[in-house]
Amino acid sequence: MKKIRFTLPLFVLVLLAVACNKKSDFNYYYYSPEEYAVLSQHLNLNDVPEDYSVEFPNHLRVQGLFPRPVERDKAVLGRVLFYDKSLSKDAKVACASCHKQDAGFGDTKAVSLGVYDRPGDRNSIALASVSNFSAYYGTDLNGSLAIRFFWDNRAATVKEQSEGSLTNPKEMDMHLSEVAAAVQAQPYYEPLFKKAYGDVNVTQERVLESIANFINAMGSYQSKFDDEASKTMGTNNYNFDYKTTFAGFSAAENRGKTLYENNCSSCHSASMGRPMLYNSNNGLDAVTGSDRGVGGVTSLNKDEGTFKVPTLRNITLTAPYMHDGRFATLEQVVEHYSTGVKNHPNLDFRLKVGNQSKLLHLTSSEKQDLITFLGTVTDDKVRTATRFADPFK
Amino acid sequence: MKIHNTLRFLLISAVFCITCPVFAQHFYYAPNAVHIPMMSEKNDAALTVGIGRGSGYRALEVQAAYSPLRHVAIMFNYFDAGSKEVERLKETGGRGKLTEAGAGVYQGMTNGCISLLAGYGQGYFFNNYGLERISRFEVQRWFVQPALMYQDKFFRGGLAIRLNRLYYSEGETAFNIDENELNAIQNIEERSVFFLPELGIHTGINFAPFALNLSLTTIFPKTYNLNFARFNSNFSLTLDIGRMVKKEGKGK
Repeated sequence: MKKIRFTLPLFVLVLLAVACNKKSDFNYYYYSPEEYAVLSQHLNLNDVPEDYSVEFPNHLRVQGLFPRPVERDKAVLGRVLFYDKSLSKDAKVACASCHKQDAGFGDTKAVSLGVYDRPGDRNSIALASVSNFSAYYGTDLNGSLAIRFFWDNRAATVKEQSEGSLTNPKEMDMHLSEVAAAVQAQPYYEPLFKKAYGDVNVTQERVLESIANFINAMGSYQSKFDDEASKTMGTNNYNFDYKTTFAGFSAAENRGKTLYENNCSSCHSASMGRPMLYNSNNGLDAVTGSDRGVGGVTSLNKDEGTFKVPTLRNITLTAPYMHDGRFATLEQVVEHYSTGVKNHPNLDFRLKVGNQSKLLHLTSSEKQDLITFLGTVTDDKVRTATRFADPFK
Repeated sequence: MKIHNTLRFLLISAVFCITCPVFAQHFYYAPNAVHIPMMSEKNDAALTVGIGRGSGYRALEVQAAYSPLRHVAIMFNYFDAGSKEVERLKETGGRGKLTEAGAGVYQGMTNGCISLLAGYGQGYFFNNYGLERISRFEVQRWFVQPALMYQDKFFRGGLAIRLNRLYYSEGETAFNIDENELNAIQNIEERSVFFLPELGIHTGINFAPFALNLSLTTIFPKTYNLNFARFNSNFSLTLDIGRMVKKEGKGK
């Protein structure tokens, strides 16, 4: 008994003495030292990859919307491919040359310049919310009804869109076999392919798939609009009215939101989710010009002069606007809808009153309120997130 | 009849432990069989060798206990779980080793013994995920173990609670492993120090100086998000060295 009384406190003391350990700090490795040495010669990549998963805000999730799953290792590879200029005929143009991170992965030029400074045909569409569409495109649904890519909707999937740009003579002007060969020639792709696919075999399909994974990871859903919509909606998602006043919005933002919901959401979506229609004519011109838009692809009369309806997420980052970049500022865009809509034969019925084009005739303060509201749909984080940044040294 | 039934049960358990296939799984901790020493006087000693089995592993376990002084016991435990081929990167799965020593006090009773022991051990857990992806974690474990053992001429049974303090002192892992495994590892790193109570139940048949035993050990709290192997069933053979030595001494 004496021994027990003696030893018990001893146990407690021993335990207390060893009770203090510094916090565990594990070492995570993604690349072997040899692999990382090769990568580090050309690239600034973290020794472990970032998280590329996309999460929709609650107000979109409760509507049954979901992003396309992203495979992290393929997104890492896709990021390097996206910024690699060796995938172009003159080795000076990458996907990122026309889809700049600072511009929400759009371009600041009305029309981008491709290889040998060849001007393209249309304004670069901002990619930063492609995952917005991804639940609907390709084989998820009936392909003919799914959201498509390019201003003329000629690509059914992100992979097709990437292929279209890589092979376009005015953009990167490559055959896919040349792209695969260019990738094969770069030493830094070996460890990246090994991680993404388990082997170092470079194929055209894998290149396109990896780029698609990176683009699908460009989720841009941490805007003020998303925060407020999710808070306001709460669990009351049945027939939620986005015109409801958002407590965290200023008066001008709420007024602008009401104007948007009443006049713009029937095409561009009340929730800033997937646009409500695939293509439309918005009265930029009275007649179809040399650019026939979707009509040039389908050859259907009803599609002549119609173009893809884009999402308005990050719209404040993606000037200039419209398929040809004709409007340098949002003020000019708003002015178009206020006083400038032309009565094109295929003008969307939502922009018509009877047989005439509908003009909103907004006051100056209404125009400003609308633009103020559109600022709330900007997610600044996508501009600075390192996981989307140029990895090349 | 009772002996025969118990013996039958133990032999079936032995067959299960030794022969049933193990489906390799990854694990970052596995409990070794709780060691409940049966001591009554100075110079009592026992050596136990057994096969342990848990989720995803089979283990070799060696336990030894000795009483250098009346009421004082020391013990040694060795636990070697999983296949060596895992560490040679020829098989995927998990592997772990733990070596520990303890000391404490006991009080012999007419048919049994109560004891209170404490100790310290070190070891590691290694996992091979294939494609040259591995993880390895060094662990330190302190424990305090109150226990109760009953023994008569033919049977023995025991109950112990082992209160562990488990610390992961070092670790490294491939990052591109299954998300479930990576999450488990990150959870372990975040929580870092674990207070893990384990319950051990022991039963056996005496064939002096030997005993055939079956032990069941389980971690109390749920550890599903840590990928700890939660259970250990162990079939073992104990040699009561102290009794053997005393018999020989009497014989002389």
